[in-house]
Order: sequence, then structure tokens, then C-alpha cells
Amino acid sequence: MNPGQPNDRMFGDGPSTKSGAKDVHRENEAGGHSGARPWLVYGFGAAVTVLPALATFWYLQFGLDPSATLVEIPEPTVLGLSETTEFARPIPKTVTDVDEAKAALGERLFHEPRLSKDDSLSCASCHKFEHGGADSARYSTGVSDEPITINTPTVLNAGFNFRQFWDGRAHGLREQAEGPIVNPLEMGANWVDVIAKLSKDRPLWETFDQIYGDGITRQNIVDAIAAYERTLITPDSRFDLYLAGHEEALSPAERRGLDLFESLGCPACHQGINLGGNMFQRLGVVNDFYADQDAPNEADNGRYNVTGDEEDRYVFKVPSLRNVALTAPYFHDGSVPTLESAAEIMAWYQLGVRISDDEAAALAAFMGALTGTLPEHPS
Amino acid sequence: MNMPRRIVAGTCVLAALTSGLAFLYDNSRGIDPATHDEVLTQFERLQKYESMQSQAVLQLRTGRARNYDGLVALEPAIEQTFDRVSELITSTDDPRALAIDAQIRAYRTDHLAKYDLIERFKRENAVIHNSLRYLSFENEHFETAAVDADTATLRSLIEDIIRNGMTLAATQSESSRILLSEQLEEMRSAITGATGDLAGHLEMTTRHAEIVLRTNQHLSQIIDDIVSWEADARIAGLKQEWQAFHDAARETALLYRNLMVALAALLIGSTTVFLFRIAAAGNRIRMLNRSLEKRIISRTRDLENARQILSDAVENISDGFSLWDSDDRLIMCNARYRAMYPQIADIFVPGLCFRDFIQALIDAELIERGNESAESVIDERLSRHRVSEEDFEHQLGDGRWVRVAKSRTGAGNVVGIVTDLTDRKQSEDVIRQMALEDSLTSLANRNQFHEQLKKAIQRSDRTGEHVGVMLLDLDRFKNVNDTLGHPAGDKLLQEVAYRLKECVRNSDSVARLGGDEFAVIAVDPKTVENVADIGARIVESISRPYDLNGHEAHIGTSVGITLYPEDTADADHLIKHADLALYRAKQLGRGNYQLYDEDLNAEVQSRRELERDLRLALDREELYMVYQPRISLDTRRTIGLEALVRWRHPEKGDIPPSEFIPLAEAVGLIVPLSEWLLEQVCLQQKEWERSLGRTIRVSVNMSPLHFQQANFTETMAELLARHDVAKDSLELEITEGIAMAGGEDMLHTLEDLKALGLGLEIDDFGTGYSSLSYLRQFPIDRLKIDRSFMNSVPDDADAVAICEAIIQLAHSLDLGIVAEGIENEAQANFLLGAGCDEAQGYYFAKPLLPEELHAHLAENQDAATSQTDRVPETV
Repeated sequence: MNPGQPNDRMFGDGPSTKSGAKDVHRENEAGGHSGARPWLVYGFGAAVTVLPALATFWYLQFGLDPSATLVEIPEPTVLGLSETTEFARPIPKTVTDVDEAKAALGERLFHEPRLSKDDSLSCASCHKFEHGGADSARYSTGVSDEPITINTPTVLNAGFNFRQFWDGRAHGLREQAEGPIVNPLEMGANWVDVIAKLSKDRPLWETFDQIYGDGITRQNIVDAIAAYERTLITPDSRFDLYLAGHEEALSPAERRGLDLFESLGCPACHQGINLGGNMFQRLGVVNDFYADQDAPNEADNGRYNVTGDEEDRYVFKVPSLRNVALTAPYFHDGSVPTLESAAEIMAWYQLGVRISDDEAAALAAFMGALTGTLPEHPS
Repeated sequence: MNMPRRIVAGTCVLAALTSGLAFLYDNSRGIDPATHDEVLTQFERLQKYESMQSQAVLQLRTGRARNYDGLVALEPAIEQTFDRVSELITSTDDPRALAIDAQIRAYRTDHLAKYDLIERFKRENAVIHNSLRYLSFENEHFETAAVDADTATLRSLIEDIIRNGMTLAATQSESSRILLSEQLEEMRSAITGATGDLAGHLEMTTRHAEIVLRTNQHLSQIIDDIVSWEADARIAGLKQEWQAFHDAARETALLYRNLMVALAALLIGSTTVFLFRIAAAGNRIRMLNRSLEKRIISRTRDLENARQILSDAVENISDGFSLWDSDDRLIMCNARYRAMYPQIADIFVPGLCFRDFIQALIDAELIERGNESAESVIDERLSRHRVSEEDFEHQLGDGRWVRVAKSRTGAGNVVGIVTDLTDRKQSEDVIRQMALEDSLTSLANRNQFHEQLKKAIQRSDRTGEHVGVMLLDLDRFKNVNDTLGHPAGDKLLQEVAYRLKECVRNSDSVARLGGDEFAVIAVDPKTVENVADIGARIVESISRPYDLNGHEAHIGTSVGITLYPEDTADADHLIKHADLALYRAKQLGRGNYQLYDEDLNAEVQSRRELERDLRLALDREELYMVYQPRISLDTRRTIGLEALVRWRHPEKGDIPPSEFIPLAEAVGLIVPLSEWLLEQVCLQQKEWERSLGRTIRVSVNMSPLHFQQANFTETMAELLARHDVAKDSLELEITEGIAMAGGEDMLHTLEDLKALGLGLEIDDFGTGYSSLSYLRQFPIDRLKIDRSFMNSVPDDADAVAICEAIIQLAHSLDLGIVAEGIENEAQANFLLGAGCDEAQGYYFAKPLLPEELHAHLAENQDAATSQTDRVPETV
């Protein structure tokens, strides 16, 4: 209690004793309150002061900085005039601007049957390297009983094409890779199932997470596949060696084929790094192709299916002639089994020139020199 | 509560200011210069790519470029640059910037049309190049081919067509175009006439030329559209918009920066105010603290003073003071408290446990625990310490008395006050004595006398004892006082007190009631005489002379006596009666005692007179001997005598033995009397021996008092030796009661007496209670049948039966038997018949004086006389 009290009573300041005791009581009461509150008060004050300060600091440091959100991207590649003066450009030895990890993952996915509806097919099922990145069938067989309506284009050097598919409906490899997976006639899958199936594979899931940070997604799958496909190039063909100055790389027949190739005007379309793949052209520029054929089906409409423009009917992306010797049969409908007949048809309908069998053989010989070093199969 | 609320409010204000500052800082930064620079760069790049596209198209058209890779590469480059610009612009997160972005998007949508144009250009460019190639190929063909007259017209026409087509493609000349179209028209109509190889050439050449004609125009239009694509202007416009936005943003930022400076100033100001107020509050608190400190110091000083005063007070109170807390531990105690227990003074330190304290008291033997265990003593003290509010007094082992007062304070502490009562107890004793004692004589005073009297009366009521009360005052005391002075008078009174105490038994009490007045309480006097004796002794004792500092003084006293409960049942009356008796004694001439009861007084007085006479009688030879013959019932001859004493008073004449023998016994004269008597008998025996030539067996009655004398046997032996008394000539009679009450001691005494040659006889047999065992053991010679039986025989059958039984018993034990008080023939005959040996009584002979006896013996030595003696024998 109050130690002063007994003394007051004993030695007394008289009447004031009572009121003194009262004051003491009130003081005690007030003291009791302030005794319990300061921690609350200081805690509140500290929270009110420090938390906004921290938030502000964080915001100013990370929240506002544009450089934190804008990723520096390299200046796009443009070609100088010197690179366009010749009709052809060689395939580079290697691809430098591809993430190896993504490409490795893409390689796994490229051979991944779980991307198909019934786990039966992978990308590699139809894009076989030994067949120049395509297969030997006129139409490849998908998961469905119905046949695929167009001949399989090669996956090799596809990264150099300015558009993908015969009708060029895909702008890049990423866009292209989505197509066959969900096409009912091809792999016949859907993304929900694919991602669910792949997500059960823990190592795969971890690899995705490691590379992309957000696990298995549609975007990540096609990005990885596209990255891999960009590595699928075939350098060091004899023609490329020839372009590099090794004239002896081409045999005399091939040289004759090359001369013929140029003189006929083939490089008007089959030019650039891929000898094709960088423009569209009508099938039947000079002579009407379908006048001598069965009635055209939907697939034969080509680019028209994409643009709806009458001028684009029977227009297709000019295919690359790289490794063309391996990718028979030819044309979008796989209707031509040999390079010789393909050359003859092309000469007549596109150029309005009838070439001899000898000339056709020479052209075929030249086209044989366009076969480069195929990518290695995955181990 | 005010203070914390203000702190909260202040903190909130500071927080708001800080947040505002952060907001302003955020906005004051404007557009990041790096962003701005890059946006400008990207816009420049876009302009470059756009112009490169046109360049590439023209190069391809003219054949300076032979592949489309360069043109194709520009499309993604432009798209990427657009993406980047949009990204940069939207990153500013400003509505104006977003509007610019929207314009960019719109431009990009428009730009798709340019891509389409480029695609068409590529297709048509390839076509026209090949057609021109064909035309030049055909030109060579026709130039080298053999000219045929039939076809010359056709050939010149085709050559014109080829030339025109190539010219058109090269010059875009309108005239060439019109000419070509006319020539082709002409060719169409002409071609039908051609045949064979030529027809084929013509057909294909015409077709190619048509293609050139058609495509050339189309292609020119496309190239025009591409080249005239107003990309540069639109991009420049966007760039300008951006620049405007950037400048506006910088203006805004500047505004915010100014505001920020202002707000920062405000913040600094308010913080300063805040700090100032804190400092002011701190100052106030410091001042308050200082005043509080002063108050505390003065309060502490006051407290210290108060504590000192309190401590002085506690230390200086005469009692031991101790304060114990509720856990029974010592808080404090004063020196006096320690001094209370000097043996264990060391242990009193704060924190001392009460238990240990009691244990120490026990160890120091200040508390006697007796048979109790120390534990139980401690528990008992502890419980009393805790709960008892009552004082208690107790005596310490060293004899001091203390009182312990315990009280519980409001705080639960226990205050123990220990007071040393030893002095008070002693003074209480003194006071009590002063109240009850006469200071001069140390006798009880009047108060105590009354107390004692009351107690004695109560005791009497309980037990039936008597109480004798005597009042006395001194005669002629005033003379002593007057002549010798008060000191002498006081000394006299002390002497009187001493003598009075001598006169009474220990159980009796003596009191001085005041002046020369004294009182005596005699407790449990057996007889009135006992009381009277005391009175007589007092009178005698006091009247002896006093030696007062060499002066001889003579005083006397008178005594008044009352008896309780005989005189009155009331204590006050008792004293009054005693006073009356005293008054009478004074009236009777002082120097005597008087009983209150007149009759009793007379009786006592006369008996005292008789006693005095009896004492004188021995000296004055007023006593004399008589002998009653005892005869054999067979022979009627005297065979023995019983010695009896007689007293002839000079004034009162013969006094019967039944009167003076008990008196002699009561006043202690019986022993001298008996000695005198035995002396007389012995002398008489000698006389008879001389005169008759023989001794006669004489029996003498012995008082019980003889047997209480330690040297009785020796006295008897000395007597017998001195007189040379013949054996068996002296026989002692002892009453049945005396013999039986004596027990073993009596047995030894009797054996000793028997050994001296004395005969032994049991007197008054049949009236008391005899142990047959003792009868058998005692060396006695005969039994004497009590006189009371003789009065009734032979008429009363019971008496007869008893007598016969006694006689039979005596015979059985081989004892002699004698009867006394025989007064007639019938009695004598009965006894003879019952087998009794001897008898005495008036029928045979009355007691005779020695001279008479001489003749009797001479006459009737063998035969009993037939005289009748009517006088009853008493002894």
C-alpha cells in the first residue's frame, strides 16, 4: 500500500491526510493505466511510422523502376545489301542465339508421345531426320482414321522459313508447334490433358520450373519445342561448300544442274538461305496447274484458306529445297514421287518451259547437292 | 490518456506527410531519361527499317538484290521495334502515353496492308523477272534461229513484243505499254496461223509478254504504294507526340518536385515542432522530476525522522516490542525485547522464525516443557502466536514473570508486547501481605482474621469440626506504653505475639486486631477443654514478666472464648459473643478466660479447679490405696487383689475414681498417678512380705497413656528392680481396646513386660473387638469378663451365653478367667457352674484399706467371706 500513510496518521499533517490519501489513490489509478498502455502506444507508433516508410522505400526502389520491367532486347537482325546480291545464302554452322536448356527440353518434348491424345505419337513420329525432317508417306498417319490432308513439310531448317505450314498460317515455330498437337487428324490431344499428363512427371515438371519458373504451360511447351527446332539445321551441304568458294564441291553434273537452275529462273522463288521458304507463290503461274489435274480439294486452295482473297487461291509458301532429295514425295499433296518429275512440273507450270529428261536429271543432281549434315538423333 | 492520443495523432500526421512526400517523389521523377532516349532511338530505328523496306523493294525490282531474305528480315525487325516502343511507352503508366500507344497500334494495323503489298511485290516481282528472263531467252532464240519467210512477220512482231516488253519493264513508259498491248492484240490474232515449234515459242512468248504487260503495271502500282507509304511522316508524328508528352510530363514532375520541396519543408517544420514539444515536455518532466525529487527528499527526510521517532519510541518503551510478519518471521524488535531474553539475545535478527525462537527458549530452559515434546510446545505457542489476541502471563524458567500481549495489525503482522511482571508480582506479594498482615507483629491483621475465620467456618460446615474463637486484650498495657514509651510498647506487643504463637498449635492462627487486641482461632479442638486449655495457657504465658530493654514489665490478659457451631452459626455473632465473654472475664477481675456459654463455662471452670486440686492432691497426700480381694470360686479363698486408688478432697470429701481418673488422663496426670500407685503397691507388697511372710498377687489397672510412653518397659523394670518385687506378684490390667489397637508394637511391649515377670490380664473383655489371633499370640495370663455381663447373669440368657462362651474361649486358649462385679450368690454360682476360675465383687469383699486387708488376709486367706458389698466397684 502507501508507505506514507501510517506516518501521516502518526505524525499528521492534520486534515490534509485524508485528501492526500485520495490523491494517492487517483495517482495509482492513472499509473495503472499508463503502466499498461505504453507498449501499445509505442508499438502502434512504430508500426504507423516504420511500415509506411518501408513500403515507400520498397516501392521507390523496385515498384517504379522501368528498367526492372523492361528487358533489353538486341537490335533486330537486318541484312546488308551484300548478303542479298546472290540468290542463295549458306546455312550457318551453328545456331548461336538459342538457349541450350530450352533446346534440350524441347528435344525431349519433340520425342514426347504424351503430347498426343493416346500417347502414340510424338513430333518425331512424322518428322524423321533420315527423311529430311519429314516422312516418306504422301500423307502421314495421325491418331485418327481420317487421313491428314496435306504432305508433311520438313522440320529441318524450318527456323529459316518466314512462315510455317504450306499456307503460311503460322508466323513462327512457336505458333506452328501448337498446330499438330491439337489437330484432331494429327496428334489429336488437348492442352488440359497434355499438361495434366506431363505434370505427373516430376523430373520433367522440375525441369520446366527450373527453366521457366512457372512450370508446365502451353506457352512453355511450344517455346521449348520451337527452341529445339531452331537448332535443327543442316549446314555443310555441297552447295554451301560451293558457295563458300569450293567449286570442286559440286560435280560437273551438279554444276550443270546449278547453271540450269539459274538460267531457267528457279531462283526467282527458290532463293535465300533456304532456297525457298521466304515468300508465297501461285502454283501455276504460267500454265494452269489444275486444268491438267483432278478438281482441287480444300487443301489445294492454299493461302486462300488463310486470307480469303481470290488472288491467293492455289498460292502456297514456296518450299525450301534444302535436303529436298530426302523428302519425297513432293508438293503439298505429295503427289510427285521423284525430284525429276517435280522439276519438270515446276518448269512447265511455273516457268512455261518444257525441259528434257536430261535437264530434269541435272536439276535433280543439283538438288541432291543441297543435302546438308543432318542433326544427330537424340541419344 | 491525453498523452498517448496526442502521440498517435502526431505519428499519424508524420506518417501522412511521409506518404505524401513519397507520392510527390514518385511523380516528380517524370519520364525516365533512359526510357525517353530509347523511345526516340526506337522511333528512329522504325523510320530506318521502313525506308530500308522501300530500298530493298527497289533493289529487288531492279535486280540488284537477288534474294528476299533482306526484305523478309525487316518485317520481324519492324514488329519487334513496335513491340519495344509500345512496351517503353506503356511502362510510363501515363494516360497520355497510353493514348500514344493506341495510335501506334492503329498504325501497326494499317501497316499490315504494307506487308500484304510486300508479299504481292515478292510474288509479282518473281513472276515478272522470270517472264522477262523468258522474253530475253526467246529473243536470243529468235535471233539465232534460222529466219523463215513465212514467219518473218511473226518473228518481227514477236521481236517487237519482246523488245517492247523489256523496255516497258525497264522504263515504265506509257507508250511502250500501249504499243505492247497493241502488238499483243495483233499477235493473238496472228498466232492462230502459226504451227509447229514456232507456234509453241510464239504461244509462250506471247503469254510471258502478256504477263509482263499485266504484271508490270500491277507491280509498278505496288511499288508505288510501298515507296509512297507515309511511314516516315506517321512515325515522325508519333515521335512528336511522344516528345510533347515527355515535355508535359517533365513540367508536371517539376510541379510535383516543387510541391515535394514544400511538403518536405512542412515535414521538417512539423517534426521540429514535434521535437520542440517533446523537448518542452521533457523540460517540464525534468522540472517536475526535480520538484518531485525535492519532495521525495523532504518526504524521505520526514519519513526518516518519523522512522527515527518511531524507532526511538519503540526502543524506549519499557516493554519488549516485537513485530512478526504473517509468515511468523521477525520484522523488528527493540532492545528491551532482546533484554527480556538475555540468554538468547543473539538470535533476534530480522527474519528469525518464531519456531526457532521458541526452540531457543526451550533450549535455554526459559520454557519448561515438562513431559511434553518440544514440538508440541512449539506448535501450541505458534498457534497462540497466530490467533490469540488474549494476553497471557507465564513464568520463565529463570523465575521471572512476563506477560505477552499479541495483536494482529491490518497488514497481517503480529505485534508482540512482552512486559516483565517480576517486580509487579513481588510488590503484589508485599501488598497482599500488607493488606493481610499486621506490620508490627507479622501476625494476621483484622482483615485476614476475618478471612481465616470465614474459611474455618466453611471448613467446619463441611467436616463437622469445631472452631474455637478467642478474643483477648492486654491488661495494664497502657501503663507500659506510658512509662516505657512506644518503642517499648511495640516490643512488648511483638513479644506478646511471639508468646501467643507458642501457645497455639501450628494449625491455629493468631491475629492482632488492633492496639492491644488479639484473637486466636483454634481449629478442630477435640473438646471444650482443649480450647479452655489454650485460653489458660495464654493467660499464664502472657502474665509472665517481660524484659523490655532491661526493664521488667508485668502485664496480664483476659480471654473471651466462643465455640462454633455450639454458640452461634454466624461469624459476626461469634466475635460478638467472644467479646462478651472477654468482657465477663475482665469483670471477673482480669487474668482469666471465660467461655461464652455460661453452663459450659461453669463446668469447664470447675473441672479446671478439680484438675488443679488433683495436681495438688499427689503432693498433699490426699490420695490413698484400697485393695479388692479376688477369690477362687472353687475354694472361696482370696487368691489375689486388685489395687484401686481413692481421693479424699479436703473440702469436697471423697471424690469417686470415675470422676478424677478420666481427668487425670485428660490432663496428663495419669502417668504420675499410676507411678505413684505402683510405688504404693510395691511398698505394700514389701510390707506384706514382712508381716504376712508372703506376697499376694496384685493387679493394677494401666492407662493407655502408659503404653504411649517410649520408656514404659524400662520404667517398669526399674520399679521392679528397685523394690525387688517377687515374680508373679504384680499383674497389669490392660483394656481389651488398648491391647487390640496396639498391634505388633503392643505384642512386643507385652512380651517385654512378661519377660520382666509381670502378669498380664485383658480387662473388660467382651465389649470390644478381639482378634483371636492376637489373643493367641499375646503372652497374657487371663481374661477379665466385662462387668456389664455380670449385671445380667444368670437371668439373661444372652449374657449367660456370652459369659459361657468367653469362659470357654479362655480355657481353650489356656488362659485364666476372672469375673468382676459379683454381687450375689446366684452370680457366683453361675460362674462356678460355667467354669470360671476367679471372681471379685462386693458379694465376696469390698475394696479394703491396707490395715483392713491385713486382718482380712489373716482371717480369710483361704475361704471367701460371704459378705455382701453393695457399693459398685468402679475401677
